[in-house]
This record gives sequence, structure tokens and C-alpha cells, in this order.
Amino acid sequence: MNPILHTLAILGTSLVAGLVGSMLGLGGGIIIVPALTLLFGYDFRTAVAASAVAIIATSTGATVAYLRDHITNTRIAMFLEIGSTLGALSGAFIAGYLPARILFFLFALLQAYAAYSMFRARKTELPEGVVPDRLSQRLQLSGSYYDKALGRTVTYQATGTIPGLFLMYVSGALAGLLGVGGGAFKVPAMDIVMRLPIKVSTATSNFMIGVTAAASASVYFVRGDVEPLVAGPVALGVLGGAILGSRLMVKLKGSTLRLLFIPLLLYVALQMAWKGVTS
Amino acid sequence: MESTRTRNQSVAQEVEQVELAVSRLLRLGTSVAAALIAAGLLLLLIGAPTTIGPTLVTVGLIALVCTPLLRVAAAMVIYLKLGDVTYGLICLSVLLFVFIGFLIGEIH
Repeated sequence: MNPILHTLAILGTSLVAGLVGSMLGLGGGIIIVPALTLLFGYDFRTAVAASAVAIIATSTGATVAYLRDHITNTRIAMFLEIGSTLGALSGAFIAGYLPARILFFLFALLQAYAAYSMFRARKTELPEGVVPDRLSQRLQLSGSYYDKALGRTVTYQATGTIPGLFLMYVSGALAGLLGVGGGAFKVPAMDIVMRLPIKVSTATSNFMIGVTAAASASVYFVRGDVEPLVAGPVALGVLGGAILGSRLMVKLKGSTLRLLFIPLLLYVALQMAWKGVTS
Repeated sequence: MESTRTRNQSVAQEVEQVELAVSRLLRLGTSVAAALIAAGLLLLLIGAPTTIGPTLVTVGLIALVCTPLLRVAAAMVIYLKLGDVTYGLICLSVLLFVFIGFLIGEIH
């Protein structure tokens, strides 16, 4: 293929990945890695390195808008980031000792459960009857934002602080062990366990995934896996997609966002189960 | 009651300050990174006979990769400036864990 067309094709694919990733709080890696390896024929190393760059581009591109709209909760993000970064560290240490096959199946099951929970709560716009725990009150894991779809200000406070932190640890460890982004795990954890509004969960996850990915992206840079001609257009496309997606997301209803989430979680569950079978 | 309200107000102000500063920093970082990457790609694609193209793209990508750490560092400075030691320490530990993660990853 003509190099200009080739670059434009990567740019277009990345735009879609950034759009979906920013709206749902995922890195877009689940789109970038298969697209680069299967559609464009790049090797796995190059694709994974470009995907780490894509996660950061999604995170940064979307966070600019979500911070402006006060949907990202920086306090919750920083607090939970302790869990996911520590988890990533542990993942690197225990990598050789745990059978990947069982972990893939475990991850698949958790994602299937998350899809089921999202489906059960598909008509829920905002969490109701949340009783915040003591730690959440002490750390002020609360906030408010103006919901453009509902036309009113939404006030919220997190619950399940310790279980939430533990799940972030698990998400970081799994990301380190299996090389899969933690976003598809973080959003359901904040939604189901910490009972945050779905938009806050999505935006806060978006903020977090970039921080965790920064370590792995730096490692890929040092190893020389980051190909400028691949990662460059991926970064530009994803940034553009994330800027568009974050503008679109604030106008959607929470229940619509949930509906978009269900097929994606099922797709990740199937992908993980398949990897478990073939690994 | 009164003290709760003032406490909530000061938290809201703190949040506002952190978000505003981090958001500005991110926008600047993103614009610089995107401009560098785009310029480098253009040079590469028109076949400029220099190594400046890939270098520009790489510098842009490195700038982009730094933005997440920059936002944690910026938030840390603001929390500490406002006297919120708990959150300042939370940010510091996150930065530390990311740095250790980078060192471990490099060895492996």
C-alpha cells in the first residue's frame, strides 16, 4: 500500500479506537492490538508498544474535557491509583509463578459477571440509596458535576472503598500478568462496588489508565519497540478520537453508556476465554 | 454544621484548583506533542532526506507519555501547597510505584 494511504488508514482506525476508548474509559488497546497485527500485519511487539502509547493518548485527550466538565474525580483517581500501580508491580513479580491459562479464564469470568451486572442495571441512570463507608467520608471521596443529559447537578459519594481499592490492585496485577488494559475491569469495579455514577466511573478510569500505562510505555521506548511510523499516526488518531468521544459522552444518558458497555465486556470475556483455551 | 460547610467549601475549592491547573497543563502538553508528531510524520511522508522526521515524532511521543506523570506530579504540588498532606502523600506513592515499575520492566 502507498505509505500515505497506509498512514491514513492507521489514523482512521485509531480515531475509532480513541472514540470508543474515551467514552467507555478503556485504553482502546483491545482495538489497536488486533487491528495492527491482523489488519496491518505488524508484529505483536510493535502493536503492544503502539497500544501503550494509545492508552496514554486516550487518557490525556479525554481527561482535558472531563476535567473541564468536572466529571473526573481526581481524588478518587489518585487514591485508587495506589491499588492499580501496586498491582502492576506485584504482577511483574508473580508473573512466572501463576498459570496464565487459569488467569485468562478468571478474567473472562469476571468480565462476563460485569456484563451481567451492567445488563441488570441497564435502566439505572444514577445509583440510589448509597451509604458511604467511613474511609470514603474521611478521604472525601465525593463530588458533584452538572449532567448535560439530565439537565441537573448530580452529587455523589463513593462506598465500598476498601473492596474498590482491592479490585484496582487486582486489575493492575492482571494487566501486568496478561498484558491486557485494566480499563474494562476498572469501570465495572467503580460502578458495581463503589456505586459511583457511570459517567464518573468512565471519566475517572480514563484518568487512571494513562498513569499505569506510562511505566510500560517508557519501558517499550527504552527497548526500542516504539516505531515512529506506527505509534505516531496511532497517537494522533487516538487523540482526535478521544477529543471527539469525550465531547459526545457528556451528552449521553448513563443508561445509553451502559448499553454500549455490555457488548464490549462480552467481547473482552470471549477474547480472554479464547486466549485461555489457546495458551 | 457550620464547620462541615466550610470544610466542604475548602474541599470544593481545592478540587477546583487541582482540576484547573492539571487540565491546563494537559492541554499544553497534548498540543505540543500532537504538533511535533504531525510535523515529523509530514516530513517522513513527503520523503525529506533527513532523520529529523522520526526524531520529531519520537520527541512528540515522549512528551505525550510524560503527560500522565506530569498530572500526578502537578496534583501533588497543589495538594501539598494547600496543606492536604494525605493526598500529597498518595500522589507521591503513585509516582514512586510507577517509577519502580519502570525500573523492574527495564531489567526484565
